[in-house]
Amino acid sequence: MTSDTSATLEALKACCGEIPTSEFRGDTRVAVTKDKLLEAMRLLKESRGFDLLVDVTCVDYLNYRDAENRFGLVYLLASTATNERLTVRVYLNEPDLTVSSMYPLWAGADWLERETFDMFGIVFDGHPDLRRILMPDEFTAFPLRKDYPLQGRGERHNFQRITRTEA
Amino acid sequence: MTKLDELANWCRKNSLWPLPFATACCGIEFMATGASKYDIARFGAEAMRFSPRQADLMIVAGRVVMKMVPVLQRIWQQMHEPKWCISMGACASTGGVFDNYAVVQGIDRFIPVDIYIPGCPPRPEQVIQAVMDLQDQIQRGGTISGTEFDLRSRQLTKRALVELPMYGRKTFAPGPAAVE
Repeated sequence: MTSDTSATLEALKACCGEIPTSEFRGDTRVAVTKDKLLEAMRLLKESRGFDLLVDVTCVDYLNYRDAENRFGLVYLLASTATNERLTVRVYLNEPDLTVSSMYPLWAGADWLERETFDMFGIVFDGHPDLRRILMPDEFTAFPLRKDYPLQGRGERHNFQRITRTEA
Repeated sequence: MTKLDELANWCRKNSLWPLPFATACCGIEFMATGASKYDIARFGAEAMRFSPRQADLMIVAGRVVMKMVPVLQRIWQQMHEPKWCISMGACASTGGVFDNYAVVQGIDRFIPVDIYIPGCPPRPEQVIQAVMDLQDQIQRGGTISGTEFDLRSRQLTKRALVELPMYGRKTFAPGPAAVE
C-alpha cells in the first residue's frame, strides 16, 4: 500500500466512519454502505484525484460459500495523475437493489451502469437513460444472475419460423 | 422441366451472387474462399453483394444471437426468388459450443437452409464443395415459370411480401392479400 492510498483511506474514514478494507497483491479494496456511496465517491473524485471510472460491474453471491450478501457492486477507480487505483464495493440485497448513479461524477458511468442494469437488474437512481444495452428491450430476465438458467427460459427460440412457402 | 428451364438453371447455378451474412470467424474463412488462392470466382460465385436485393445466395457464417434473428429473417425476406441459403459452420448450423441463453441453436429453426457445411470453421475447400453441391441442386430443380412454387401453393403469400412482425410484438396479422 502506497502512502497515497493510506491517505485516501484516512480521508474515507473521516467521511464515512469505519469501513472494511482489504488488500490483495498491492490493490486496495474498500466496502462502503449504500447510503454513503455517493458521498464517498464524490470525495474520492474531488479530493483524492480519482478522475477515471474504469469499470462498474457486479457479482452475484447466490450459493457462494460464506457469502452474507446477495450482490456485490464493484467500482474500479483510477487516478491518471498518480496511477493510484482503488476498488470500491457496495453490497446489496433484495428487494432493495437501488443505488445512486455515478453519472453526475463520471459521465463514463452511463453505459457501464446500463450494462450492470441489463445483466443483474441493479437500478441506478439518477441515471439519465437507464435502458437495456445488450439484450433486446423486450427481454425481461437478468441473465447474469445465478438463478437464471444458463440456457435461458426459451427466449432464444421465441420467434416466428419462416418456411419455403412463405418467403 | 423444359429445355428452357434447364438453360435458366444453368445460368442461375453459374452466376450465384452470395450475400455474406458473416458474424464470426467463419466469415474470415469465407473471405479466404473468396480470395485468390481458393478463388470462388472459378464457380461463378465471386460477386459478393451486401444488399439482399442484389443477391441470391445467403451464406450465414457464424453464430446468430437472438437479437439478430429478426434481422436475419428480414434480410432473407428481402431477397428475391430464386434464392438459396447455405449455413456455414457449426455455429450457424447447430449453435456450436455456444449453448447459452442468447445464441440460437441452428438458423434452420427460423429460415430455410439448403446446404449445411460442417466444421469449426470449415476449410475453404468445404465451402467450395458446398457451392458445387448447391449448383447440382439448382440444375436439378427449379423452373423459369416458378410452377414448383404453385405446387406447394406458396405463390400468394410470397407475392404478398408480408412484413415480419417486429420483434416482441405478440400477434402476427398478415397484410392484405395479394391482388393478381
